[in-house]
Amino acid sequence: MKTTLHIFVLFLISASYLNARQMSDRLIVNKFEESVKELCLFADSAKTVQDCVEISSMTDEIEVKYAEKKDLLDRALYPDDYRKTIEKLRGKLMIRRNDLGIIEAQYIRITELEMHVLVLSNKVDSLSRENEKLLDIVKRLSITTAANKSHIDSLQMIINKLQQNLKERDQVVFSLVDSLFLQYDKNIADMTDIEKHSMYGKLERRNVFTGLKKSIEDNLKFLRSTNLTPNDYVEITRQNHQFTSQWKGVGPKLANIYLSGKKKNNEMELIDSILVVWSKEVDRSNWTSLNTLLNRNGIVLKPFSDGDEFTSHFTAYIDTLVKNSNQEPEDIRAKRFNTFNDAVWKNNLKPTWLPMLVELGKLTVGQKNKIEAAVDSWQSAVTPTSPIVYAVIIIFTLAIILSLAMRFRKKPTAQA
Amino acid sequence: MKTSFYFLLCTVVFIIEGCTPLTLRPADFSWPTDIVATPDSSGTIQLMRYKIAFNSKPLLFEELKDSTHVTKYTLHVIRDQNGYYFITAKDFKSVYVFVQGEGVLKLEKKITVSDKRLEAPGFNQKGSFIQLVNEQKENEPSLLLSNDGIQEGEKK
Repeated sequence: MKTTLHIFVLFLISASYLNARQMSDRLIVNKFEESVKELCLFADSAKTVQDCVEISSMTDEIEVKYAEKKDLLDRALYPDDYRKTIEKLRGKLMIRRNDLGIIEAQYIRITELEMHVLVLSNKVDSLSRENEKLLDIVKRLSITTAANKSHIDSLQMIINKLQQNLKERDQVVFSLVDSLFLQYDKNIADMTDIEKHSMYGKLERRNVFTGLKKSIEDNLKFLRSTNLTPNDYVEITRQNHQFTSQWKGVGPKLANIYLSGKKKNNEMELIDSILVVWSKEVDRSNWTSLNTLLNRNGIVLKPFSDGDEFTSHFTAYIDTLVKNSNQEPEDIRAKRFNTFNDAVWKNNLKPTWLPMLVELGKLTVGQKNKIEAAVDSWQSAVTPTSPIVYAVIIIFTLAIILSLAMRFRKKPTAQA
Repeated sequence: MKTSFYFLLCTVVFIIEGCTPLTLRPADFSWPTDIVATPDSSGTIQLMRYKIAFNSKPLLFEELKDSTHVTKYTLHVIRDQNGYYFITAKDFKSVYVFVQGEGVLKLEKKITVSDKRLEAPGFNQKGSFIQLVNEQKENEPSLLLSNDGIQEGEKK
């Protein structure tokens, strides 16, 4: 079953070129006949309900794929026409299902899951195609020198769309894997060899490894494209974190299915390694992007590449500013702080970066508090004391003096 | 006089009609797709589906000057609506159009379709024409052929 499924996958790939190339009608007919023949063999050798569902789904695909060639097939096939050939195939499968004693309810449930897999698989394909185009546009727009507002706006719009698509595809790929495993309704360790082989075929046919690899590669391409905003990086980091944790869940399951195949083990390692590259690059880009944000607004820190370095360099920088605050005129100090506060702190660092860094474990809560305290102390150092404070102090002082005066005035009366 | 004229006319009409062979019209001899077949060592090509067999040696000698290693060639054969057989093969420069005779296939026309040898020819049935395609080259323009020669497209 495993080998034949391999052959069939290759065959389906070649069949997908049907419309792309100028073929002779004979080749189309031959390919249809070969697929039907293969499916008949699968039907004969099906051993589980999942096999039967999968063959049924393959038959649906073949039927849809060749529907537009019905006229040709009706003329060329002999003695059966197109419709009759498909009907015979379904009949063969039905007989096999009966032979295996498959329960109808179980068959329907797995068929629904298989349909879901098919929908997800098609979605992965369409998102991949769309993302490919969007990445091309981003690349083209990024190297265009004209940087007018409409150009920047359209680039940002495409980047947003692409980011959304990448996120969606990552989710769809993992949902697809989940739906495949759900069909078996049991742990990998409890699966029989036949079930594992069947699962292997499904994973192959749905190009799960290619999908996962493509997801990481496209995310990497996106990361390497220029003109990303700090918010983009925040989103990318979240995405990378989520992908990594989902892969940690799915990876061992896939490894168990592919245990015997050396080639697939290599693919597992490949996915692991490109995921590491992606994570490292996300991490590096993150700190670089944060540094760029600070630099652009006049905050020049020593280079940093992790949470510890960032916290220590950032707080040290602010400490220096606070210490030197008396040497500068009040308005200059205030202007510097206000620029930082408006452009960096209030809109980026505090609401976006710090929570994200804490969420992803790149900063501890203690480090976040330390940074916030440093900014507070800077604010105190540069903010002139409010007249209200002076008024409160005066009133308070007057109140003390008055109360003391009252007390001293009352004493002689008491003696009298 | 008039009666005898009508009698004579009717007689002539019946005689003429009796001499004309019975014609079944329309007739369509077209095959849905081309057939690919390899000659046996004697050069005979067997087209099993249509129960047709013919000797391919003279054709291979005519085109490739080889009638000894015939089993290494694969011929593509298709029949059009009018019943003409179109034959070509990889490394041919021409398509040969044959008409069926008594126990023979007679050459009707040799259509030179390319200055270079064909890489992967294939025939399609296209209405009253035969389409010649290159199965290996994406988007290479095809030729529409009839027993009179190239009807659409340019020699490659």
